[in-house]
Amino acid sequence: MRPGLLCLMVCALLLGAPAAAQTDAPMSATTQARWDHIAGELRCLVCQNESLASSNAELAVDLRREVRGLIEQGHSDADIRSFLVRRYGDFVLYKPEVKPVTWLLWFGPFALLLLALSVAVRLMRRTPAASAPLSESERVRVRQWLER
Amino acid sequence: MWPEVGHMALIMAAWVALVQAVLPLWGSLSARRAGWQALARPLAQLQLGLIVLSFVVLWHAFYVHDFSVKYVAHHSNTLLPTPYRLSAIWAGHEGSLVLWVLMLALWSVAVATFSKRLPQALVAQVLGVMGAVSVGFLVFILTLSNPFARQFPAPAEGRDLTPLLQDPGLVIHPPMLYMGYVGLSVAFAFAMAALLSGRLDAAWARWARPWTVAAWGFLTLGIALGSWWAYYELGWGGWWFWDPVENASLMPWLVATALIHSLMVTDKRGQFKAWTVLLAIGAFSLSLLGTFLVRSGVLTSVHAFATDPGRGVFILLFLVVVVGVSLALFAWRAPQWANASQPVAGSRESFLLLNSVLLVVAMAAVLLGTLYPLIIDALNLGKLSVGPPYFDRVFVPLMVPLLLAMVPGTVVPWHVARWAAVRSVLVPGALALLLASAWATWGGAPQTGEQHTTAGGWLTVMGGTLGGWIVLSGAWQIAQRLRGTGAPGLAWWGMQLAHLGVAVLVLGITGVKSFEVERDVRLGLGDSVTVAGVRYQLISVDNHLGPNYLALRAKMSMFEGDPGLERLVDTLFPEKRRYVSSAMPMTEAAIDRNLWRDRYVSLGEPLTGETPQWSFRVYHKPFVSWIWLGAVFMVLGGALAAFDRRYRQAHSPARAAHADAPRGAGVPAPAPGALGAAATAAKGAMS
Amino acid sequence: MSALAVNPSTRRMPRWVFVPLALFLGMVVFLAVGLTRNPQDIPSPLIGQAAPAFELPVVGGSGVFNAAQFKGQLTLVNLWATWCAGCKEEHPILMALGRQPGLQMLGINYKELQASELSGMAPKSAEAVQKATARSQAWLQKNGQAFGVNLLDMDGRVGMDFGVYGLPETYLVDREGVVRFKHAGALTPEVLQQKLLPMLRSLQ
Repeated sequence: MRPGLLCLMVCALLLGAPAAAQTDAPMSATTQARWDHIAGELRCLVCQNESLASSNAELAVDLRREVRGLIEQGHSDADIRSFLVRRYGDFVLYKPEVKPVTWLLWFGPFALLLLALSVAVRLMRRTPAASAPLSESERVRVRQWLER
Repeated sequence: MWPEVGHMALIMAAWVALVQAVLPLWGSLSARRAGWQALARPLAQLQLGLIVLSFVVLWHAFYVHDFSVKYVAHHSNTLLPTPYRLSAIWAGHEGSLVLWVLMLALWSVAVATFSKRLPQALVAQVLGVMGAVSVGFLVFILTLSNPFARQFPAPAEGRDLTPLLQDPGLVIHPPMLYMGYVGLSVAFAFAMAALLSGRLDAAWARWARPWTVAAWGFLTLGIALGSWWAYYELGWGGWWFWDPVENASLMPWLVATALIHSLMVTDKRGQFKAWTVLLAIGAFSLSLLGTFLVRSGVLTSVHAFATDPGRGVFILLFLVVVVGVSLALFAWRAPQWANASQPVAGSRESFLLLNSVLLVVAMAAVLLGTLYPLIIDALNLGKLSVGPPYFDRVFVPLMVPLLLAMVPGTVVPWHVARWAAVRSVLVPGALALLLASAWATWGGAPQTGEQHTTAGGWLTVMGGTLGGWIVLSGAWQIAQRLRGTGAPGLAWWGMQLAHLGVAVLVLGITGVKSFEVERDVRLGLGDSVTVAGVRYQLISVDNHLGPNYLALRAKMSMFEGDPGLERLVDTLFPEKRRYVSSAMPMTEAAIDRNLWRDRYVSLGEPLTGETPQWSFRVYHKPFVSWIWLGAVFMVLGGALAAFDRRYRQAHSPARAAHADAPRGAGVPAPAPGALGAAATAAKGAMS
Repeated sequence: MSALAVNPSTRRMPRWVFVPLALFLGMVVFLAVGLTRNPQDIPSPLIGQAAPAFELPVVGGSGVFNAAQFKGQLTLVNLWATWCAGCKEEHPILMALGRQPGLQMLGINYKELQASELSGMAPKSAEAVQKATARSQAWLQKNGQAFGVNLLDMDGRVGMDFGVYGLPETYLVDREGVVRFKHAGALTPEVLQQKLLPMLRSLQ
């Protein structure tokens, strides 16, 4: 069986985490808003195809509880990210930080776009090119074509 | 015995493919062996027959539960319902490759059949190249991925088809997707034919267009089906995850879209020749790259087959040979084609050039994001992840100018700039902006309690304006055209429908992202939750027995209206299934669909506590169906365009000219497009 | 005369035609290297950093173990649980390592009672700790006392501080309390020979 699918089934389809997590009280609106904002950016380390928000691996449940705790204590998104990165490395962030090793990733596409557009603009003309006049043999062929 | 027959059939098909790859190509390049070109068609048909035989044998093995075939034992068991028994063929790596070669053989025979008006040399070269690709895949199957491997003693019972795949989606998504991937090999083969013979003209583009549009259409359909399937199957309402394998299907699609537009320019104006050939090579190369990514294990993906670096090495070598040879030939031939194109800024050619640039840069961005973790790891710079937040931020800004250019691009004329044409569509644009603003302001679902919902913002206005402008200007163009004389051909209608499809897709994405609502709740019997003006009440939860599973089934009633005046609108039955063989629980979401919104309910695990409770996810997803409706319009538009009469003309003067030109001299035949321009210029000079 | 006729032999090859080929070959090199890597492996950011601070009760003893006690000796930290199949497989290797002189063997029993078993108990309640202690001791009795010190991480917080993402996991902490090595997954003879033992020798 494909490992990815197996993991997906184990984690994703066990909708409804083990009881312990669900007996937690529902989040307040502000917490929920902050949670929504950051949850999609965090990667589950067990079921690596999923975000921390949707995975139901036990570690994901634990980490969600941790993050929720940090939100409720008033920590900023940056604090939460560094909490997780200090333990799991950059792998845990779905949105790579903008630092020298990721400059190519973040700025590359737009640099490429500018380069491509400049090449395209250089190829273009302002007015249609005047076609070169036909030679006699070509004129004959044109007549033959048009009369076919 | 039968599995051995299937195995033999594949071996013979490999030999036939080898002959098909060598002889017709040789015949097309050597005057003495010209007779060999005629072998291409019958060889392609023979190859198809053999592959169909082996495919049917594999089907038969699944149908009769022949568990002595390892592949059958891994992917099915006696309880599996028949449709899934048969589509289980392509559930695993080995069988999916057999599907690949089957599709390739089908496309080859299609080209062989519907190419009567093409010059023999071209057909021979195209079929020869497709035969070469087929050889590669067949050798791969026979050496490293044999679906007919036997095991003795045969087990009494197989494992199971992964429950996630026991769904109608499995029956149709892979075949359609593979038709698209493989169909791009036709465009590739046409490009190779041009590179080998050195002849690339408008006639070549005219012949390549319907095949490319057909492949593009299948690919669009395959991707859309995959998205739709994931949406209703996985249980949390997502429809695109920027998963590496999804990206691997999006990239060839982006390049194929650029290709069908670039082919149009080469067909009508004889320009962008080198670029079109490069796009054709690129589209198929990305198909092959996708094959590599899914089967080699270099990237983590939910779609990945059981990974095996040995297989990865083979595919990588194959990729290097196929793409390396084609790009080397390109480097050799391209200079002779690259001088003619000088589009005028503001003409249709210039907009189509912009189309190509934006789509290719978008593809490069997706490729970069997908491979970046691998690149950084290979350079020993650490391990990072690149996920949806990156792709959303980079891909969407690249698509905006593309959508913006769609309307002017369809109204400006060829060859000259006429900004007056653009001015005429600014009114629909302003109207679209107005409507989009209204939508953003009032389009949200009715709010209840302390729900979180993304209200419409400037992204809604932007998406709404872009989609709306395309729709309104399309309607205006149709109205203008119908008022005028002469009925437009199928190709024109196809273009309008396909562009409308893009607009509907954009509006769907904008709508669902702007206004969707999600609630995670715990409900006991009789409890309710209100989402987007609808009250969902849990009526009952019982057990239900299916053909090969036991399910926990909840009954949710939906009520609309003010308290006291409510009426029952619908009832949903979300399930949690436990399959007998694999003991893995699976969610079957219940969805109430209509054109304007989906109401989506997922059942979770039962919770412990004094009273029985279950976890539920309830979604309100407005406009989500428009995503797939838009894709369907695109596919239909492509189908219309592919069947345009001009591609089916029996006696095309272009063909005669192409055939008359001396072979191998490296002189391209005078293209109708260039002649047309010359004739106009001559007329201009004479008047 | 139009530019239609070109004589191949006098044509120069401009450099740009090689760009697609060059880019493609560059990508292939990365893909080839990628075939030798495991994309699911997560390297530890703790390597070269001080081990996380923690204090946990010792199983079957009356004291606690504090991370400050890492200083002064070389420690092998193993995160394990009785429900983890890989832990049983690697246990003989841990037993063998335990016989190495100068190496302190520290076991951290991570989430011995999983969430589904807690059913209402608080993870650190006396009842839960007692149940976990009994299981932990019984298992070690049966499979071998590999750990000089065995700790209970009932709620998984300490494991999380170490960056655990799957059991078992093994760390080497040197005499200054700095993490020098991590292996995720069961220890195998190859890992032992090629990575762990050389690292031990260099740290002695």
